Amino acid sequence: MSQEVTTMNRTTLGFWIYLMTDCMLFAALFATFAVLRASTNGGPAGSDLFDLPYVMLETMALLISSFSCGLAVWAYQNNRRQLMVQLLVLTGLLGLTFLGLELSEFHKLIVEGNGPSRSGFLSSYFTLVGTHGLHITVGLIWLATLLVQILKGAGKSLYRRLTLFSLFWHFLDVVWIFIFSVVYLWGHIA
Amino acid sequence: MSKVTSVESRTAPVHIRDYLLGFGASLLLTGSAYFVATSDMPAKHEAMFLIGILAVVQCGLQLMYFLHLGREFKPRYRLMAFVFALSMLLIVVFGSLWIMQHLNYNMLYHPAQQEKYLRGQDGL
Repeated sequence: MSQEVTTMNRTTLGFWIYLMTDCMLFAALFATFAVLRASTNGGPAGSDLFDLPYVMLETMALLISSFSCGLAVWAYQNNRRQLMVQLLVLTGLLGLTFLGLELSEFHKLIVEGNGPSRSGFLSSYFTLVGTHGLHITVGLIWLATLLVQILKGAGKSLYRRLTLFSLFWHFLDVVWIFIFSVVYLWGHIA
Repeated sequence: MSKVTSVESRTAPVHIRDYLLGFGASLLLTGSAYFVATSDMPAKHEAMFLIGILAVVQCGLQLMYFLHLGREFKPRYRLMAFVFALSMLLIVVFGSLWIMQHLNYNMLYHPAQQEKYLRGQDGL
């Protein structure tokens, strides 16, 4: 751990500080979810609604996409541009898979009458998981623009942009670890 | 102490070993958490505690291996920012839970509501 591998670049540090504020946003949403966990208003609770194998599929998609994103940065540093592009495309496809699965899950809940207005529990669930999903969506748009820039011939700023994107994407996976554990797994047990 | 401006042009090499380790460990920890949640073995509170620990460990590993936290050149601004954010997060989350639980307890005015609430708490 004493080996110093990361440079303290101003933009990267600034972006990291932004991610910390994003962390606070999720903290507040988690706190709200935890407080309202039992407020089901006579309706269904987590254990009635959540399909764990399905959630595992989402989790795997996001985890592998985080891995491929990290590999893309590695590929850039080892001058394997084509591999980098392929890995970024893979990241995007897996991210889209995650988003699709999540939207389908939301749709199913809403159609069954268990939308965000059903109970306090469901309001906080949709807000927390929905906010994460919104972040993923924005990340995917960012990735798409990055890929367009790369294919058009990216300049010196590519490394910085790629690093910032990978920070964002890794961060979203870290948040998902807690959503997966606290919302879905705990919800299933309790 | 070298000046900060000279640091900017250096690019940090990432090792593929970090990503492989982080990914492998995350897979294991996620699988374990899923197993704990779906098996009947552990009691409810133990299971929740285990899953919580697994989540925290996975978070720590991903922070180290994917986000390279703590591996910076000094001064470790990133680490400082993270520790501060983490402290605030803990205060917000546990503070909210504590306050709301106390509010629930103190705000019960109807005896029937109170009884129902107290029965819902473990051990009563």
